[in-house]
Amino acid sequence: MAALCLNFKAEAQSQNTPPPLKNQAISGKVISATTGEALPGAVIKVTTTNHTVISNDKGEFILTLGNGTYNLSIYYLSYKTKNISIQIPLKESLIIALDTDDKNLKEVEIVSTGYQNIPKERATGSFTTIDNELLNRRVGTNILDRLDGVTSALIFNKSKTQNTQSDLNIRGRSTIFGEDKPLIILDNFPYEGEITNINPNDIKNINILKDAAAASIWGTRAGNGVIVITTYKGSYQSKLETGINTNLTIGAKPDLYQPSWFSSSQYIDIEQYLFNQGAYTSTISNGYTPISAAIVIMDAHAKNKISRADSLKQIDALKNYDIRRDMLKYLYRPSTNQQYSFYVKGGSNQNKYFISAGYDRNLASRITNSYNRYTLNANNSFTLLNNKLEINAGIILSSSSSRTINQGYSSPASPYERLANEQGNALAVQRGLRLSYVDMAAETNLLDWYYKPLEENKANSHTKLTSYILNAGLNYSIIKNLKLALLYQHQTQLNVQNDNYNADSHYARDIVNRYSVIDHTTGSVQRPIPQGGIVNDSRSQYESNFARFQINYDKSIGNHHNISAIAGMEVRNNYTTYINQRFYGFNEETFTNANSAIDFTKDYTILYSGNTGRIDAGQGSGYMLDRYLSYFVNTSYELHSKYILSLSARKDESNLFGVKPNQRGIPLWSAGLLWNINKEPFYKLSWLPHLKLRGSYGYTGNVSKNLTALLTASAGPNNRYGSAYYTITNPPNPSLKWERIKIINAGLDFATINNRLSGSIDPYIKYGIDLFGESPLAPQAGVATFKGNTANTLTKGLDLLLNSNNLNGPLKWTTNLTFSINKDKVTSYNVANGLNTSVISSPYNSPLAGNPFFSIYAYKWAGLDNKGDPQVMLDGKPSKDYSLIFNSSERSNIRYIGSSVPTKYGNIRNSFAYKSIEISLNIVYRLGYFFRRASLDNTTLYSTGGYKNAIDYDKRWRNPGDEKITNVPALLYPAIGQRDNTYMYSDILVEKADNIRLQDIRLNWNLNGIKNISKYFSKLQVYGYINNLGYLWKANKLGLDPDVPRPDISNVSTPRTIAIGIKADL
Amino acid sequence: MNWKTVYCLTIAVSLFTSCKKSFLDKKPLSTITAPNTIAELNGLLENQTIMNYTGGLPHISADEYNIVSDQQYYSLTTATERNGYIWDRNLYNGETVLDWEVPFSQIFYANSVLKVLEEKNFKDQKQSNRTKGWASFIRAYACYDLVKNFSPVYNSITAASDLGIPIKLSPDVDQVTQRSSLQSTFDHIFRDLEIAGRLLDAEVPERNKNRPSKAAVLALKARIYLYMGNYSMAEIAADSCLLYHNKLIDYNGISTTATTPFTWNTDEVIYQSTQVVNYYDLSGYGNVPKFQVNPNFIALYSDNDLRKVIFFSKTGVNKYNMKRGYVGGGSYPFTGLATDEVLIIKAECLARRGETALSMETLNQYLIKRYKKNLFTKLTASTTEEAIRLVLEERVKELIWRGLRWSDLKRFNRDGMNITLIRVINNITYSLPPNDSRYVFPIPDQEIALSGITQNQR
Repeated sequence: MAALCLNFKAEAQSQNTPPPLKNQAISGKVISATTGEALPGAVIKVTTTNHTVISNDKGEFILTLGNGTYNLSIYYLSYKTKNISIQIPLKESLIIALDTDDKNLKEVEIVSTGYQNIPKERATGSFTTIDNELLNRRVGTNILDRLDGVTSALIFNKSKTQNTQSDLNIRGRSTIFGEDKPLIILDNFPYEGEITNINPNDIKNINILKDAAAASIWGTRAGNGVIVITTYKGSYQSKLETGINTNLTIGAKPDLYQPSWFSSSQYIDIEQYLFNQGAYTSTISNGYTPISAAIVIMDAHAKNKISRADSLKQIDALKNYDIRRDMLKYLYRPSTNQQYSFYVKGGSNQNKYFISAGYDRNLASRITNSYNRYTLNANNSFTLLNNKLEINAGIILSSSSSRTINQGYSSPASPYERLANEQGNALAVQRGLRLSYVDMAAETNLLDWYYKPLEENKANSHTKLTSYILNAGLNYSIIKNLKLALLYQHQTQLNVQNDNYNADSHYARDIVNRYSVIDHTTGSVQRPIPQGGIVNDSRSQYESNFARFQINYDKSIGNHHNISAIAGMEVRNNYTTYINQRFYGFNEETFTNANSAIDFTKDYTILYSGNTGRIDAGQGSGYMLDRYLSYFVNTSYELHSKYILSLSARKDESNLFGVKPNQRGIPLWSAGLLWNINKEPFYKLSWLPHLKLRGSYGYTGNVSKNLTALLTASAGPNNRYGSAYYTITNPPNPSLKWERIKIINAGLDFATINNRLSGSIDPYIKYGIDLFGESPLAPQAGVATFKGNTANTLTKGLDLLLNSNNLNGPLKWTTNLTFSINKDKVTSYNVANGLNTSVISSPYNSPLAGNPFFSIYAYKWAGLDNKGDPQVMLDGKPSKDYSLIFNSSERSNIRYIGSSVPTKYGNIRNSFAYKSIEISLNIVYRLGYFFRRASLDNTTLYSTGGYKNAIDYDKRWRNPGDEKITNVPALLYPAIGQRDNTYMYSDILVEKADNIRLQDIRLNWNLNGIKNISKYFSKLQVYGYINNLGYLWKANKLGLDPDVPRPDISNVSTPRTIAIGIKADL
Repeated sequence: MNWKTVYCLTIAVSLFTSCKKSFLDKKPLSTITAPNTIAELNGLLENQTIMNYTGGLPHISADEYNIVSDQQYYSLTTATERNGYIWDRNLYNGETVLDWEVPFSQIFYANSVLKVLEEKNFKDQKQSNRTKGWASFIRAYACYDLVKNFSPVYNSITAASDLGIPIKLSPDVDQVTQRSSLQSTFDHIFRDLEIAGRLLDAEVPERNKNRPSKAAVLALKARIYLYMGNYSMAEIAADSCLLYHNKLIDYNGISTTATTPFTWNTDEVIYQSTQVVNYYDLSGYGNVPKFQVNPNFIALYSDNDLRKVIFFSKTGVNKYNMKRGYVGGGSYPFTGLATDEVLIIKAECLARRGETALSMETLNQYLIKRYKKNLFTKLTASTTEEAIRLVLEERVKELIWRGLRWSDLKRFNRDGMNITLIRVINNITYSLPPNDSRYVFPIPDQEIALSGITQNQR
């Protein structure tokens, strides 16, 4: 880049004269000498006339020259500048192959919006490109995971506050109740299939479109930012190339000891205390609710069925058991993921192709769970009619199969529960029913009712995902400057999930028994649900069809003006159908079921409880349909290659339900401006040869299809009387609008000489306008709140990217740094009457104006009183009136602590290369946010499964005076929920979540430097990769993982993984 | 070439735009609909998350239970329960008041249905009439629930000036309605009941007791007239109701151990409704440690009375909790209409006009099915006063936990029975004298804030 800019200035001063006599148009093409790929955006300068042209997106250019000899200089970023001499008329076609410039190799030039490829140099918008090398640094099955911790503006939500929350956000959240997932584009079209269908080895690069100028071409889908994934294609006039990549990743077993549990012995003491208090009396008396083994012994002793000595002996035996030891032994293994991929690519003058195949096989740490995936990707393009017509066709196939255990053993009843005895024989554990009850049932003609996890420790749920994407495209150059493109894509994704609980499974036996009726005189058993397996079969089919018609226009007027424009229209139809079925009495031999023998509308008495229930028919079906008609235009005008103005507009119309036709669509637009400061005559900073200023303004949108302008209702399940019912989803809202996001972005790109230091800074402001929010209605309306376009948000932020070549000798050292700030707040929200308790416990449902959407609020702690009761500030005074505390809506009684998502984040990656060895380390930091930690919770401790709640138990208030040294409240029996929650939600339990972690290390050994190897391989690399190395620093001093602030055995910190692999290209 | 292209493009564009309308008319989700068929409108009325609920405040304020200890009182989950127990003037502490919101949701649903019926003018007159009757009944049922809770007891002398409730006649959510007089509220209820009575099917639907019938209209009329003190009209309504539905359950065939002795469609039920899903601590089933059934009421049952073992479960020394009543599940009490209530209404009306023998015979009709076989002695009364006393005692014993006690206390005190309720917490005695303004619940603050309707003086 630096060389390029300097050259421009040098050339500008030398004026050459001889004008050509007879002009003729000659065409040429710029390609990469190494890959043969076309190089769009290359600058071709006739040094003799000082005339310049720029190659188009196929690398082609046209010069108008008279006969004679000319010197050409061809510049292209990260390639060595080439000077050639040509003789007009030409003897052969002019193809200029540029050699790569190793110094600048890492730069990627083209950004793709999904509609067009723009040389980054000329892009007014805010784009981030993650190139192939950076994507492949990480090893794994999922392509999106590879974006984690390597780029600015993008954040992965590690601990979600709501299940529906998107896995990742670009520049924070842009909505309140609308869709929050970024739009994903695969090649030219939105991709809404499973992201795991995509083989990461097929991906050439990923562009992230952040501001309005970059993203508004996607209109109403772009409100959350856009991720454009581009797959590999072949190149014209390139030689056949093949390669393989294979790797093996091994991960540790999950750390089940991370959650703080009571030891078996401690917990038995607590159970003994509770037993003495009578806490289990009513449970024991009902005869069937599970009670732990220790309580069985205590009860037997209390009823004088066993002696004190015997009971102590039996209890001592329990104290030696540890269920986590059993689980690690029998249910978990180290995970192993294998990945294999292979590709062929190449091209002739009229044809280019790329074919790849991939196979992944993952054995999860839970021994029953596994995943495998086959992918096939093939695309082919050829040109006709003297290169005027290009036809593309492609297919991406993916088939994956995931096996898991449903209803598997996951939540022990006590820390001393056992899966197997000393001999390793499977033991029965309680599931839903007390062991003694099941023992009793064994005396009857009921089916065996025992649950032995180890006898059923195999996968019973199988999900098959099959997807194919067909692409067809047609590019036709009508005249020199005008091209037509017609693109079509079809995608089908079939998802079949089959949960098969065979006749022997506890799940099936339990359901059959539950509804059984015993005739106590004859002992015979009548079974409303016939004996046999139970199968849940859920199928969904997603079909999408896209068609796009687009006109591309490029014209240079004189030497100074360049216009480039696209316009077109697009139609889209996404149709998803689903059918869920449940079969009882399923016979795997004959594949028949007994559903017809079952009355699903009858209220049956549950055998053990006397409650009534219906047999779940498990039927469901429905569809979702998304239809869009869109019109778009995007133009850019370039003056003196110094100033570029871009304008973009789009109108989307969709099948919003019950909306007047004129409100179905929304026009969205953006404008961007670019100024290459370094090309100004007054620019003199020779140490900073590249300096570019960008600015953009515009709108993107977001829509919620659940809101409609008519009175609408959604079909619910059947009511208890067996009739279908409808729920009114919203009252008529005639003024319904689409959500809009206004983005103002500024950008500065720079590079010092030889790219020693280069980077970009993008400050931005985002306004969420007309966001869906709730407004209160007088309750007499019959609807509590009204969802409408009533909320606004404001986000301010900055993305910074810095690349530094620290050492460039035999030892190469580069540093890449990203830094993002993202601070949002809700600026207007009409419902402000939520109680403090709901603001604190579910801030996402009751956002408060002035604070971020993801906020942490807490009661103001005021210490324990002399009885060990928690107190917080209420109207300026310490209080333990928990009801008043909960039900106050006076916001001065609670404290806004901060954001619960990182507000500053980024990474620093240091890469070293010495001869054939490369090593890089990535450090990721996430700052400026908070989490709420767990502490002793009286209510949970004294209820079923309380053993999982050992945190701060030893610090609790025990004697008067303890309030001076501890904040952990005294334990009460019975516990009082509001008292516990006052403590749980107080500010002393909110911790700073800031952290810095060593995310991963990548090691490459490039063998292609070795003579005998380079004969056969253009590239041969052995690599190693270690992920999740651990924290370097955490703000909290309690050793808590901010990503997993409340660990549970089903949710522990991500284990470390180690991968090794080989990559070879022929 | 160029012209051809332009030509083709023009055609393509015009084709595109002409089929655009129908292309974008398809609805996005199979599960959403703009209800406009009779089946869909019925579907709205079948919604069990909205319909068939009545308020719970009358239950927590009445004397059918008490809290077992101060400690348990302080552990009550909601402030409304704590305040309601001691009839605090400040009742809700900002909590959501389902007693107000749920009936208005039912009215909103009913109005939405009535509006579509009016607009559509369906061909199938019979079906459409039935739906209209159903929606009218729902509106009347909800209005009566609101007026008995949020307005003073009906008194024909003051009814024209007493405040009733806002009468919503349209589903328009923006429209704010002020409170009508008590008299117009009752007039509105009876207007709806007239329509419902004319249009609804006669038979009580055996498997769908959530749906109203002529019998339900008459049973509700009997209940309302009794509350108003109009015994002659109440008796006529009760008598007519029994012509359509007089099924009784013999408790000798009912399990005395099951926690759910009855079902949702149990024979005696004429129309099913339950208390709103709130105030579990004070109204729930099973062993709820915080309250016990009023021991004075428990003492009324003789040992041969099967109701003692079928209605209650003994959960401690002298502590009784509730089993499920005429519901098949859930955690909240039955508040719907049933044959036994209609018989008791009839008996009360008969007693009040001196027909003691007929009155007692009416009670005996169901009482014989409440006692252990052959161990029931028929009730007799020698005086009108004794008959009334026996009827009212049966009203307590048979209709306990049905949410009827509070409106009974309101009318008894209006008629001069002078009942004062007493509660003690933390050694402080709270009392509710007869006809106290606290017999009328305050309207939720949110309603006052957003619609500015008149608050009750409490």
